[in-house]
Amino acid sequence: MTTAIEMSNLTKIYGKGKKRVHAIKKISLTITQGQIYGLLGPNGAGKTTAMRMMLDLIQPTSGDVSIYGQDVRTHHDILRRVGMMIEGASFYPYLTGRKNLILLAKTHGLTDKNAVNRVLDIVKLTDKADLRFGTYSLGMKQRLGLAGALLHDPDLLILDEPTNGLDPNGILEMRLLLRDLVDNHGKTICFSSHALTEVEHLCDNLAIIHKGEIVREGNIESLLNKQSQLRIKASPSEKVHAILSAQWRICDTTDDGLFLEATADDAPHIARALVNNGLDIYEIIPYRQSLETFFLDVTSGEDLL
Amino acid sequence: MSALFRAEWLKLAGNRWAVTFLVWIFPISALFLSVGAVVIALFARAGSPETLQDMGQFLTTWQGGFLSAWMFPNSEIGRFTIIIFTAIVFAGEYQHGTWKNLITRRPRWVIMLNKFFTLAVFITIAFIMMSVFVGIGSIILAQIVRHDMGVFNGNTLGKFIRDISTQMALTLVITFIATGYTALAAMYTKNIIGTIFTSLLITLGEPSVLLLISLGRSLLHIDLFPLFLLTPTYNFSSIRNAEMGYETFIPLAPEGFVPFSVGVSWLILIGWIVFLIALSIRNFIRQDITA
Repeated sequence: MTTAIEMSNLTKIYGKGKKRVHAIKKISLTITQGQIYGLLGPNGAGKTTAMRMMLDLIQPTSGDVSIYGQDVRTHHDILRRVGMMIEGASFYPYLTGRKNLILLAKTHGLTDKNAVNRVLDIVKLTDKADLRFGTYSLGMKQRLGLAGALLHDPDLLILDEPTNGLDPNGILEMRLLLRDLVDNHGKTICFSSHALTEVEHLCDNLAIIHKGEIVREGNIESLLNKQSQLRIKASPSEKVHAILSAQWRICDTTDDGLFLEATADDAPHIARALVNNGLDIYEIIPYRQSLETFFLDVTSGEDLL
Repeated sequence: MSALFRAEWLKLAGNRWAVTFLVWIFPISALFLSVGAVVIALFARAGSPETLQDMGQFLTTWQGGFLSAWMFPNSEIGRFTIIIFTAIVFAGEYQHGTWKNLITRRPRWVIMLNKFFTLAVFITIAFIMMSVFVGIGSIILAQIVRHDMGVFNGNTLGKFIRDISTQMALTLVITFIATGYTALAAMYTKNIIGTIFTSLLITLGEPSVLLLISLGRSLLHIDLFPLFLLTPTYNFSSIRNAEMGYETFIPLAPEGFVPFSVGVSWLILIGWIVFLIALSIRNFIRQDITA
């Protein structure tokens, strides 16, 4: 499988002396072609810094970033295969949306004269394209930002908070569009988002960045299943607790039952242990942890973006 | 490269307020003044010969009109205007957060070089238009007031081409140096007001080298005079004065000092341009774009 982005031992330190800030600490990750990869982390975790280094906007203190096998610092041309939107859409406020895109197309050296109309159509901004960018709402600005990222039909999209400012319909449309770009057009998307449900619905793989380090990385399903639990309702509860805690980790005890760190494969063993001890079982239900609780667990509950 | 130039041009021309009040205002004013003067002269021809005579006093040779327009960009006020415009262009990229759109599409040195080149061409074209409007206006006015504008032959044309080329080259030099100052100032201040302020301070600070020289002489007994000879201000006025046939006043010059020739002054100015462009590119390549 082709590797789209590879970061190895990437470190970024801002400032000197007492003002020294370790924004990124030896991050290594690999994003393969044809997937949606999410970067998740609390405010100031280093997601945007990592994305900026992918795009050669800032220089790493140490480590390497390569895109399609080429080091972005020495093979700058590789970035022509990348579309990006970092920290919101940035355009000239005195130019119309269309002129801003024409300008980007010329900067890129695009010869396809329909490219601007095509992307305006994709992001549903055709009827507002001749208004000045400065008059756009946040949602319209985001759409134009995405249009700019798609303009040259890139293989890889690096998007920082792409749904920021969009209304629920817009978020859904964006989600479908990104999925379509990956599933039907073979694109790769690396994006960050503060909307956990969006990441859960959209991403194939994710990395959780916390205090400049990757604390969890991998396929979203297996990450959540790894942390899956069983909810057990049985009585008497004191005895249940005593028997099960000998073999499994008890995560929580509530009125709804006891939450055990275990998978569905463990259910027969649990049932046997309880029955053999003469206890009454009412329910054993697999309880899949949500991304939100998983995220809060691994980041110690710090605020999101 | 031509696509990149057109993109930069589109951006400059699209910033209507800045471009109208800092660049196009000069050719537009020249056009209005020329047309106005011609209209007044036409009315005066019908009934006010004194007015016609008065108007004729402002006219010189046919070359004079074309050349006089270049007084403005090559003056101190012209320099400041150019600095303000280039500051808006450079610092605007930081303020609007638009560098990231450009530098992910082209190498940084190409973008920086293109910006210098486009700005210089853009500003020079505006003043060429101004020169044309004033020159043609003067010739038409001279026909109406029956003013003799001198002979038009190979010799006068040759001298005119040399003179106007010098004026255009001076405007280009001013624009490149102003752009160099504003590019560097923009990299550190990252906002338009800060860039304008810093660039003007640098420009105004150039002649203050004289103060250093004076202090050096009186307090440390060392002669820092050669420093002043390396400033764009000195070399620029040296060339301008030589063109006008004046002698350049050099304060604090040691006795027996022989001023630089025009050729040396040109070389020093070109050196400044190369240095400022190279420094801007070097710093820009190393800069983290965080906006």
